[in-house]
Amino acid sequence: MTSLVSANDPSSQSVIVSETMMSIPWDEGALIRAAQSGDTAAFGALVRAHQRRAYAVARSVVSTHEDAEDAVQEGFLHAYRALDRFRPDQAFGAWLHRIVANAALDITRRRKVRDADELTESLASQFRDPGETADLRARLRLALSQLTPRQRSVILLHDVEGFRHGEIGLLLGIPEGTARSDLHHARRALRTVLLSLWTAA
Amino acid sequence: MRQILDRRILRALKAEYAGPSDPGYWAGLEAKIMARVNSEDDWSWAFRTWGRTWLAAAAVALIALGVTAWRERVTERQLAYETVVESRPSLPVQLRERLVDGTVHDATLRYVYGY
Repeated sequence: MTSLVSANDPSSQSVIVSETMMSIPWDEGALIRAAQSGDTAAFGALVRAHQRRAYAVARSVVSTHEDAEDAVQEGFLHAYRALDRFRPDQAFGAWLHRIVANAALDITRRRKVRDADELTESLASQFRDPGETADLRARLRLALSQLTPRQRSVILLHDVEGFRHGEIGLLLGIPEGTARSDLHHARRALRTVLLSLWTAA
Repeated sequence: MRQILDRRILRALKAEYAGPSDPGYWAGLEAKIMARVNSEDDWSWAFRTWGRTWLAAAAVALIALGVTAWRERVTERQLAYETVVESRPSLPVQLRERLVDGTVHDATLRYVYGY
């Protein structure tokens, strides 16, 4: 589906935004300027372009799909409110991801009081690759439940989403070295737990 | 062995944490976000519009209150002045009598204590 968004900036022409946006040239700067001057359609185009990545960031931090969705909504709303403070020399994606990660961390803090059983159960996502066995997923959930929330976030952001250590540090508000060591510990812990489970099986 | 394990872990993690692949889901999420953004816009417009009106009304009320208070104070001063000027109490005569008596009494005491 393709929609046409008129940017308010007279120097830019209409901007084409679509689901396959990566392959279509578009001017994010023009969209941001238009959104800053109150064009909500332009902001909608930015939402469309960034919501999947924003979801991935949020999902790495929170335990459930529902919380990730809430964090994405909260994040975009915060971003909209703070849009006039966005500087053009920043990368919009990185700025937005930090806001979404903060929203996700807030949700995690609010849901701190949870028993381990509930957490393990809630790690289940309704969107799974049917090729993976239920057994493997159960083992993975068990292994992940033994990591700290930060280690889990770091391994997901690095290994699954492809963020660099420095970016992860910015997203989670930790030094790059901490992100690096968290990743090391998380990988080792997952290997240990899963290997023992697989060999036992 | 370690690489095989890592590959299996990565595959499982991706399956577990992958976002929904249904485009309808993303269209729905975008609609939810934009509904909140638009409602935010409505509130902010209402706040800006009504906020300005209320601010102007409050400023006018404050000025009116200040003028009233100032007038009241002026009237009170005037009244107090008139009360003092126009009243002629008999107090000064009585005071004088008491002072004369007191002076005589004090002289007697000074005389007694002097010895």
